[in-house]
Amino acid sequence: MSNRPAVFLLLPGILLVLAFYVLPIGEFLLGAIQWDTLADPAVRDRLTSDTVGRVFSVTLQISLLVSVIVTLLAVAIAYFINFHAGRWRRVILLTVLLSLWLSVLVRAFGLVAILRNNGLLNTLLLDLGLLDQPLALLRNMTGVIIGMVHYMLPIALLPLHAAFAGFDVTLIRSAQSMGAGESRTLLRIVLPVVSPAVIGVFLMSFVLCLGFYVTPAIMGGGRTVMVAEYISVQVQQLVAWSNAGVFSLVLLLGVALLFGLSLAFSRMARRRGGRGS
Amino acid sequence: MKSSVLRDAIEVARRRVALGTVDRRQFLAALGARGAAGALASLGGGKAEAAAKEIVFSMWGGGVGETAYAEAWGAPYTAETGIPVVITGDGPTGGKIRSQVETNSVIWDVCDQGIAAGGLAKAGLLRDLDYGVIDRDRALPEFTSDWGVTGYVFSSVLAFDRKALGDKVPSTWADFWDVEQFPGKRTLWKYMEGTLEAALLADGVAPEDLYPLDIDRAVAKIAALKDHLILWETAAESEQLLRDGEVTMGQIWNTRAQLLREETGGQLDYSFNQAVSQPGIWIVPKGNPAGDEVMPFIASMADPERQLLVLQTLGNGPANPETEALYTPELAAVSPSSSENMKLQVKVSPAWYADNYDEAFGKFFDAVAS
Repeated sequence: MSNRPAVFLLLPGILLVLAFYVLPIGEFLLGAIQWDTLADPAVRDRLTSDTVGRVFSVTLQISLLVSVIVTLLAVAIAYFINFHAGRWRRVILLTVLLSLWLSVLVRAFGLVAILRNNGLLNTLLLDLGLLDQPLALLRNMTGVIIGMVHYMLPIALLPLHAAFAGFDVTLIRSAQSMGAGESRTLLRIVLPVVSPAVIGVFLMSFVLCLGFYVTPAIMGGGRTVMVAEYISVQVQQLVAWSNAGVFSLVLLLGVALLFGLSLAFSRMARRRGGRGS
Repeated sequence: MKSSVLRDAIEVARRRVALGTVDRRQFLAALGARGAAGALASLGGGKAEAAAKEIVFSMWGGGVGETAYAEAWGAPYTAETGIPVVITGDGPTGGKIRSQVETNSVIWDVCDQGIAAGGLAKAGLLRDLDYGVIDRDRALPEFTSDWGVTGYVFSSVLAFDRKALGDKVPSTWADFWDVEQFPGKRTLWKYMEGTLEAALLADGVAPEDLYPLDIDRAVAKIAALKDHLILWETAAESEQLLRDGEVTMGQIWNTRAQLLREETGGQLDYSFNQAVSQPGIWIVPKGNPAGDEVMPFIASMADPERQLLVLQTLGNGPANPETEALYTPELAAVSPSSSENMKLQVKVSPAWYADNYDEAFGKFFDAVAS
């Protein structure tokens, strides 16, 4: 590093993060795990049981699905807001952000009131004669996905909105002047330029989804247990802190790996000449 | 772990105040008297405060539960002995107790726990109670042990929706599992207590033969019901599921079932038949701040009138057999520990859960969670 003073300026911040974040988490995780018991086959069985596998795999599946849906929706909304909404721009943005500022519990219970069998949506559809049976949108994986998408959408929208807002409009005009229609402009000009932001948002959503607890607990009917809740049960109910530590460590390492990959990817993207996220 | 038996009881009492069946003045007076103590408790009484002569009693629930406990057990003891009793509704989970004892920073003298505390005892985290001071005969013996005396009783009962089920009234757990005769979804507690016994009874095991529980059989039976099952986490949720008609039957706590019955005039009803009777147990973590001073306090909580008061305000069944003589017919009908209701129920075995809770809960959670 050529800029020595800058390193010293960073030092307090680094020390703070080390002292109050890295060290305590490290001490807890590594201290809670009883490393000597890991050789015991009974303990190994408990840690690698079918259920643990299922919980992790359900978490990965749901996180992946939700991240894809959220990213697509956020891209669509951000594009619409910035290029088509005109006067409605602020209103739409505010509406989406408003839900972000509500408590997660309020939102989850609000969705429950709307989606349950005799809730708003089903009652409406039944009364209109469009359905014979209420839709099972709650207390199952569908409910969990709806709840998580609802929660993640505003969070994903903000960076994408920034990316689209800062978009160089002259690029679009150049494309149009060469005869490109809207969809071609979108596909060949707009998306490639914002793609680092899109990938970044996708990865961020994925990581956040991995840690979801409240929303799946409320909307899943208690039967779609994701890894965060599973760890919590190990800590609170079973007082099996070593297991909890192991699962937490695995989750943390997985996320760290993802970050490493995303950093590497964004560096690649920057070198290719796209706009950094 | 019963995360909300008492927190739920609070809501019960608050609702009763609203319904007019409990005197508001009692509550307000108790609140006023406790004002100072409450403020102290909410500051998170550290070791310094607790070292001064006072008893800190940790239970499940906020305001109303604390008030009810303070009125029934705290205030009379303070009046007799001059020692202040601080009731705090922060919820003494096993994890919290363990971390306090292991780091030598215990702030609670007596905790309201359940059968899951057997694991804490096995891990050496609890004090043996002083039965020279505490009268062991004044608490139900089935739930009392060296490390914990029965404080109160609650039941997991079969609650059902008369309107949804029509003239078919379920009365046994076999009915609960019978989705043909009794259509609709069911709800069970996410944290297992009460469900294994119900499952085995539904599967044809005689009440006398329940213990030691066949965990695999019980879990398989519950797993068979999975498609029709919603798990409730908090007591309020258990009520709401029945109220909203999302489920037609549920195994819920008697305190909430009684509330539902009062609220809906019997449309949502319940029965003590085959209900699973469980204890709230008073335990003392090792290294508690007040030391031996806590034992006379625990002994004082066995007083029948005080226990009856808690039954009236919160719905918890008295643990002292002497209360039997004080029941009115109405109270006896709704008390989970009155002799007429105890005859209908099965009792959990704290000794069995002390040895097997972890394995049972692990298997239960694994079966329902995925």
